Amino acid sequence: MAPPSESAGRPVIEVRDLSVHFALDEGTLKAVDGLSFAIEQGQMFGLIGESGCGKTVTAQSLMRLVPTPGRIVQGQINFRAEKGDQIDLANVDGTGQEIRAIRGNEIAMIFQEPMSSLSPIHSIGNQLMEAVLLHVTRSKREAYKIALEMLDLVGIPNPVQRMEEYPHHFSGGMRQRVMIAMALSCRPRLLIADEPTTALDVTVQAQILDLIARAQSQFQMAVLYITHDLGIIAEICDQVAVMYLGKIVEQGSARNIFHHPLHPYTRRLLASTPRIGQHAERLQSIEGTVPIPIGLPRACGFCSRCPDRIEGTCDSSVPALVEIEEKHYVRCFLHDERAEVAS
Amino acid sequence: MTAPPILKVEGLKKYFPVEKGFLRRVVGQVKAVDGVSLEIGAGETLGLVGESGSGKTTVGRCILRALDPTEGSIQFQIDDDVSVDMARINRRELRALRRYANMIFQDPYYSLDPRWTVLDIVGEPLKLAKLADGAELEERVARLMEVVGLEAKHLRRYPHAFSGGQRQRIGVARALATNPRLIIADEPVSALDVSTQAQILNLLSDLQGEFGLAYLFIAHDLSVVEHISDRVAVMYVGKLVEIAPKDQLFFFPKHPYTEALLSAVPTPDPDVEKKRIILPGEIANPADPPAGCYFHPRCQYAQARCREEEPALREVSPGQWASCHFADELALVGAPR
Repeated sequence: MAPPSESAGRPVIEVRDLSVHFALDEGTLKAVDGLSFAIEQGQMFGLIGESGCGKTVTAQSLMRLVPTPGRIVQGQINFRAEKGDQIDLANVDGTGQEIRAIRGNEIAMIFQEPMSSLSPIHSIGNQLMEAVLLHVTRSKREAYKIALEMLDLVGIPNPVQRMEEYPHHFSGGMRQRVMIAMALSCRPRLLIADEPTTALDVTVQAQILDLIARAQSQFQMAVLYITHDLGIIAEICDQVAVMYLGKIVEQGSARNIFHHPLHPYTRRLLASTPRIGQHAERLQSIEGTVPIPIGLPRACGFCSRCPDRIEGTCDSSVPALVEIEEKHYVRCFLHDERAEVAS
Repeated sequence: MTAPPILKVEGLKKYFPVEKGFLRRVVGQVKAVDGVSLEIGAGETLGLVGESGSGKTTVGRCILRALDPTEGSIQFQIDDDVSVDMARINRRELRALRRYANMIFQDPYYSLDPRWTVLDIVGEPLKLAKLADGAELEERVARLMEVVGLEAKHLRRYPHAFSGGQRQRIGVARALATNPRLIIADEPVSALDVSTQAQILNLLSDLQGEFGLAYLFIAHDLSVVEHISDRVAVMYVGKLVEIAPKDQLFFFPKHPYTEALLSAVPTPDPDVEKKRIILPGEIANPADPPAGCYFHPRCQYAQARCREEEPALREVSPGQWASCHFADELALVGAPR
């Protein structure tokens, strides 16, 4: 385990009021809508939400990989780079030199489907060495050594032989290990994990979660862990943010979120998750579906599905994200009457 | 189990030949399902769990004869006094039996034909079984729509106009159309979000209560299986390793693989301290399984006997069957309570 450095406690990344919009024929889709959060060194930050809540677009915007016609329309993504200087990733050229020096190097990402993220026509060794040659060293021999070390670190047996093989020779779990090896090879300060175990079986998932946790404590990375699985969040994350319709609706420590949830959406999400040994005849479900964030009125995003809504309040203004208890933030009029200022 | 079983599968095997070269010589067999026996009672839900490649989907497909089994019998009680062996009937007889058992699929996007209206999709099994036509068909489909919680006026809409959860409801309505006794649900909620998943699970239990349906519920998510099942069977490389009433299986497992599976399920509670069993290696290759117990290379309790002798599935305690030589001696840990 690495000793805590002097910079511990200061955020590696700080997102402020980020909005990402997609200009579609049907109107402007607000995928991410005024998002703020910060992740400290060595912290495992969980971002949880259902499909369409904007969690993946959030990850893409940190890497500046938002697909067209998506665009960062406001906000800051302050990333503290290796040398200690801060850089606002929201305002750099998305294809320029600056972001390319950071992407895949200081900020690395692992995805849900490792097969579509690996090239089928290049050997695992070559793909691993590519990033190392780009960011760490120019010597092929050294890059080979680093790649080999990484494969060994992520628990791939016979790494020398495996270096020569191609992705289709690997099982799903092994491919995800390769992706992790690739992500770790440049010693990133921030690792973004977007549903990395969703396509895997539960015993393989356990192996991968174990690997990510070990790698984190070894390299003291900040990790943004994105998932829809509450169980995973509870097991590995320190801080949790619950996302709904492009906004964080509740944020706090894992213990706060799971034992003392305040937002009606968080509560219902927890209640609709089956638990072993619960013996419930029926599960609580959330009525209706997530609306599509195009041309929605200025109202709480959850208000159409919320059984506790206050008529005349929840449907006419947007609640602000307020610190209700120490380090426990909630965006709901039931807990605080402050509304978000229209921008 | 209360009533006599409506489905009794015995010694079911499904081998896929491995062919090689221009002459397609058969060089081996993938034993996808290798001697599975199970029973489902009327109105009962049997959960079937296992990892990808364990053969659980193949079991479901063989029962409905979407695949022809290599060996074994599948006794299906289509009526109170008529029983047929699904494994032995021909294609023509099979068509007449389709109405008694049906399937719900995983992906509500790919399993519905985009060019068909809901009326076509849900009405097709009724038409094929010659149970309804014309205005009567429309009326029955409309009623089915209401049963599964959709609006009957959306009868002529196409699948793209519905959300994922609503599409899965259409799939459920189609499976229900001919009043079957058995529904095989293959991962019916794994493509859905948690809140939608809860809606579909509730719908499935409501329908079971209303129509006395029996389910074979195939899934990899153990929390979902525990919620919906009466009994649970665990598969590993084509074989059942354990089958038991759900509380016994989840809290007093008798097979080390069940124990490892349970320990790997993430618990949505940060205060639950538990020891995850990290299984070494990967699931065995069904074309070339290891000698002895298939699980022995990954089992932390394995002994010399496990490497040589294949354990039989035997009743360890009443209703609980496990295939482990040491099922009686091992003190295995179940799911946290």
